[in-house]
Amino acid sequence: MSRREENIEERIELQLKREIDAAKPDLLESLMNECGLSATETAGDRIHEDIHPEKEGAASRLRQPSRGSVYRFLRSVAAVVVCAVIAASAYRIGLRRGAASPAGTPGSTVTSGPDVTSAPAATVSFDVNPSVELTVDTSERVITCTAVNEDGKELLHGLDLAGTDLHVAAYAIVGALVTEGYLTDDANALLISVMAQDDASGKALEEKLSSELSGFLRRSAVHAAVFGQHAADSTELRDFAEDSGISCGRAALIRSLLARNPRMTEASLLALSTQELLVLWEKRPPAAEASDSPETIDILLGSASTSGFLPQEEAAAAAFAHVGVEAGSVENVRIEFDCEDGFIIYEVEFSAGDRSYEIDVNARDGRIVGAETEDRQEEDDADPEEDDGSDDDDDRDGD
Amino acid sequence: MGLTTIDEKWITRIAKGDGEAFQRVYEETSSVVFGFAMSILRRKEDAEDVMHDTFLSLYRNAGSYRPMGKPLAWILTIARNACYSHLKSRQDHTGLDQIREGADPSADTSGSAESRLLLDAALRVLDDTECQVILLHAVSGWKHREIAAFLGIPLATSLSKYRRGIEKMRRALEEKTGDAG
Repeated sequence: MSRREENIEERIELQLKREIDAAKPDLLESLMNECGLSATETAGDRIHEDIHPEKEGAASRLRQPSRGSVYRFLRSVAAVVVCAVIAASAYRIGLRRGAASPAGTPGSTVTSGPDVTSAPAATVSFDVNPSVELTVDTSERVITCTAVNEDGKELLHGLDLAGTDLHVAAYAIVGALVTEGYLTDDANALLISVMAQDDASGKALEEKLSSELSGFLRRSAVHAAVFGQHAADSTELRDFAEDSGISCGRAALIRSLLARNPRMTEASLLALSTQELLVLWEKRPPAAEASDSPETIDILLGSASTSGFLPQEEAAAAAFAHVGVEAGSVENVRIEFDCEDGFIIYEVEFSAGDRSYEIDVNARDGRIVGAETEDRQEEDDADPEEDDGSDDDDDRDGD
Repeated sequence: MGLTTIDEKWITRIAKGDGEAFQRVYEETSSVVFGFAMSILRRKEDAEDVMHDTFLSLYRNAGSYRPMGKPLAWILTIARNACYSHLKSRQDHTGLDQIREGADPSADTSGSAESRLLLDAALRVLDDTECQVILLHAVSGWKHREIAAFLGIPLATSLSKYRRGIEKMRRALEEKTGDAG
């Protein structure tokens, strides 16, 4: 068959399909009614359940349409919310008028929203591996939308969410994280962070947002874990985030981890993925010498997956083998996640005979990256006999 | 080109009353159901009735679906049965050909002449099998082998019907364009 004939066939088929699509009736609603199926089961309505009616109008403010998945989600969310009624505009106006002077925010990829007088009242970050950061005004409307890393850019696909309602934008971002496969069994943790000058308002906003998105993800076929975090806005934190090329959310998480575990280092934590940071936060108990600061992170849903790491038993077996002791002769075993030189490790502590051991095992590949041995009868001296750094140069296995 | 992808799990979920699954199956298959019904009935009103009956029957019979990797074939079998039931109920004593003779696609004013140009041409100049093969190929995403198996005809027949039908449509369009010019 000639190329020309193929083209004719393709053109005829394409046009036929268009004509059939245009001619077919829309029977969905009447069929669903007839079958007694609930419209609340549809994806759009599932989202709608958690969006307040006063969030109307987001679709009309959508700019710069692209074919990105966030855009597709935004359309589906907006299609639902434009049907809602503005019930609280007066409340909103009151909020704006009564709002305390908001914090100034250095803009990065700033695109002004529809209300040029708006100033950021809060910064909201979404971190999985893609990191996206929004600044919002007091009426929870997005002022700027920034992709903090390359995956974030890919996720947004050039879409500017400025002018969109925060909740609509949040659903669009999280929906796209799901459909684009960024939330997986091994990397299932989503960190939602709100940083505001008034930390109490930020906390309230974070709780509301985290709760909504947890509900959405709970009903999705995704075994996600949702961590909600709030932090007081500070120039120091913003500078740290900007200098490190990470979101304010990740910066605040690293600060929290350092407060809980002063022996960890900033450089080491910066090398970890969001998933690894959250595994550490969830699984690693605070050190005895930790500062007594209030916790600012909550687990709203699920648990940070450790399926990308070796099982603890294998790490323990590797540690026992390294010092040549039989598993049967080991006692007082304690295994904890830790961070060393930018890697997640298992810190395996145990005793065998008259000695006690602390062996560091790379949690990804089982290699020994550090070992200390003590004579139990001389524990008071606490002098390490051995510090095996010969394996410290193993390669990062990466996510 | 096309384009219908259905996860069999959706049908299982429909059996449990899952509205989202029903919506997804509808969105994925409504064009092919409607196009296939048009290819048999040749009249939009009749195809609409059959489309309605097909999805109603799909919902009611989803519990009896046995996953075999061919959910679209199952749905189109329902549609085909609905077409024949529809014809039987309307014209117990009238032959299919007579019904079709009475069906004038151009009399349907629901779309502009331009927007229905090819569909009308297909309904007017193609025989039953040609019409079914071409419309299924255009909207289902099936290969000729799958279309032949579904229609119960040899693969060679499906291919020759397709090519002959396309040629008929091309000529019909040229004539129409020539008339217009």
